[in-house]
Amino acid sequence: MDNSSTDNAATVSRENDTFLLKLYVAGQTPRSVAAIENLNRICEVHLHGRYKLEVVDLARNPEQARIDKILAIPTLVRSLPTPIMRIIGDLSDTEKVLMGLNIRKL
Amino acid sequence: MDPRPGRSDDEAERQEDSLQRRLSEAEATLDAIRSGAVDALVISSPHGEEVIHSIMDMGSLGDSLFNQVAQPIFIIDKSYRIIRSNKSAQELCDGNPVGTLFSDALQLRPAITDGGTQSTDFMGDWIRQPRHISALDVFLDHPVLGMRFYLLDANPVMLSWEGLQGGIITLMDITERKLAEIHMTVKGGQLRRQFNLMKSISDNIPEGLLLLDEDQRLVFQNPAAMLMLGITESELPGRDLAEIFRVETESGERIDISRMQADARDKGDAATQRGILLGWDGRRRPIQYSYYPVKDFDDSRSSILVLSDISDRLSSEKQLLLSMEKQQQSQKMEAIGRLAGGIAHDFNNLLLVIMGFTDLALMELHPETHLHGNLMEVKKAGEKAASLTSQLLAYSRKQVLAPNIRPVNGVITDLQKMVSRLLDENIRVQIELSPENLRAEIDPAKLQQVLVNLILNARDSMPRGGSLWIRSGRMEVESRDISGMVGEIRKESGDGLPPGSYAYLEIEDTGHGMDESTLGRLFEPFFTTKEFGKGSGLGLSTAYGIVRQLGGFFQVFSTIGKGSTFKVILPLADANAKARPETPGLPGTRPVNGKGKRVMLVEDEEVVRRFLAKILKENGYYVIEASNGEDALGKLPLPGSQLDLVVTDLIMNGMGGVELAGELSRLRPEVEILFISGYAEDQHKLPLVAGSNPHFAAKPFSADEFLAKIRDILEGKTRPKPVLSE
Repeated sequence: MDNSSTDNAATVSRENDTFLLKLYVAGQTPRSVAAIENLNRICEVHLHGRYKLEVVDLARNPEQARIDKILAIPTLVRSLPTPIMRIIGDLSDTEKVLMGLNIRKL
Repeated sequence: MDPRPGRSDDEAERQEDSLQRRLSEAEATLDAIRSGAVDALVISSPHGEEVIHSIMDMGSLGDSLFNQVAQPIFIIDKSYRIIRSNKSAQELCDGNPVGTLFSDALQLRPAITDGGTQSTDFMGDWIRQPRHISALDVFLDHPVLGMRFYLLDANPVMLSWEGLQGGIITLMDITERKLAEIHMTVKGGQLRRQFNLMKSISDNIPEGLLLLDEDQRLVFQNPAAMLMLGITESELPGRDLAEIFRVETESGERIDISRMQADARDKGDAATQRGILLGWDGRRRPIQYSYYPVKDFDDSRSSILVLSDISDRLSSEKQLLLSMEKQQQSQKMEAIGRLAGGIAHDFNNLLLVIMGFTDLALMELHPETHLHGNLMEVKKAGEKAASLTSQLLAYSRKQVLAPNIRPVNGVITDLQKMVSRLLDENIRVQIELSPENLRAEIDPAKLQQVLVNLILNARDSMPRGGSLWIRSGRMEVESRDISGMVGEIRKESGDGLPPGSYAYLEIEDTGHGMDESTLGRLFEPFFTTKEFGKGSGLGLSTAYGIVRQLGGFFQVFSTIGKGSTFKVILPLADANAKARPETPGLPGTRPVNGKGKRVMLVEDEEVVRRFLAKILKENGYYVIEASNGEDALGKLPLPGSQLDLVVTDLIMNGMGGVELAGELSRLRPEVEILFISGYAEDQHKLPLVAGSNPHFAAKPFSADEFLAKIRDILEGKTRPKPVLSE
């Protein structure tokens, strides 16, 4: 069965979609560090070779928060594929992250 | 009004989407804050710039977000002082707690205390550590809300650019759940108590309980059940009911209990049976078992088998049957006794008349005449009949005995001469007398009658000869002795011979002996093993009546083919007891003359009255006849006029003898009274005249005896004869 033909393209990422991810942190807090580590691990395992990750330090550039309407720190934003999705927290719960980013578990 | 409704709808939809998204993001943010996953909030300043705030220092957005949350949230600084709280937190603290230490604002205590530490500083140094506290079980004794239970989350907030900031504490109210848990615990305790109660019941009842599931597998058994099944717990597993519960009938037929079970299930009612349980240990136990079908809460059909050991019950039932049998026997004997006594009483009245009138006729006839001879035969037959009734009365213990304290050996020595005449030559007689002069209260003539009876029976049991011993002796009984007590004697003696000193008279033979059933009925009246016509069946029953009336007992020992021993046991008289002076019996025939004495004769039986009146009149007495007490009082001569004697029957239609005597003692106290009755026992009913017994004559008596008695009374010769019975 061809999964792609039955899945909803708007909510479920396709195999060949490239993920554009932005992680907003504020300085080197324990949670920021944990969030970066957690995200790197999840991406390497589940999105190997098809993601772009950008870490934004709002402690240096608070105005960057306006772009993605950031409320809390840390927040991970999936800019691509659309629609935009957000996950707040240190990303320690992998399941929750995969669900929030709509990534099929490998 | 919007002229382009289509576009406006799209716009509204977009706005709603956006709002929805913002809301869910706010919820996610709060969730993250609660779980300590958020460092800071990004808040727009009044100048339109984004400012990063640590969560303890949020602006109006933070407040509005906070206040939407139903759970109390406290934000504290690094010295644990509250710097911000939401609406529900303020409600809980009954005012704004900002500025107070968290531990002062709420007296939270850990619900689960290890080792009993009730410190309010249970969160310790969690900000400085920094330590995340998750779902800590705490409670609060709130002055208004009462006992409340919470799960506490506490997260230190540390920002790299600002350093240690403090922490955020959220409380989740779990009071409802906790109370339910406590309720369950309490209920659990009750259940446990109930279980313990049930267990102690099932452990201690004597009935065996087996709980079976739908497939007849054993689910539960109590100790009593295992005891009855003769099985240990270790032998139980893997065995089904049919294997461990095997019952059979008393005759050894196997009982299939499945039919009983099916019956009980069909009826929905208990079924009960009895049988012998074949224990696993090989023992056989009589049991009663009841099968109860049970419907469980989950509608499955289990059942209970209740086992009762009925060994004791069976033996007591047997005993009951036995004692009922005994009672029936005793009632039968009593009935026969009453019948015999009753017949004898009426018969005595008739005999009195027959013999009396015969006597009168004889007096008028010359002894040489043919008629005189015939009448003598009538008189002899009457005397035989009187002796028969006296035997019946002896059995019913209503005959007149004249017991006195006498040497027991005397009974045998007086009998010695007669014995050789009673027995054939092929029977060797040995007499062994007690060297001691044993004395007992006896009526020698009656006791001789008893011994003769026993000797004749011994003779009849030895048609081809043998040996016969007649012995006397002393026996001491220390505790109740039931040996040799057969049939009725055992029953009457209660638990046997009471302890005490006794004299015995013994007749032993080497005859054919008796079997159990004969021994059991030995003393029944009309019971005889002799051929029809040879024995009346009254011999031993009469002997028995006499001995019992003397306060004695019989012991009988017998072995088939070896012989029998009959022992008459009499209570030994006190060594110091003095024998009463011999009193003459009814005097012999002697001419009498009434010499004009006035006698009132009170008797309701007309023939008897007429006869007695005739005798008296013919002997010179003046007679006033009355048919009962009232009649007598009506005909009573006035005080001062002559009246020498009142002869009265005891029991009459209307006023009886005793009552009449009472009246007479008031009206004519000087007059002597002679009571007559067919019952010896009636004598006990007589009124006691100061210091002596009243005059009494038992029917039947001959005319001569009657006249002699009256003469003696009137001459003041006789005091009433002492009569003892029972």
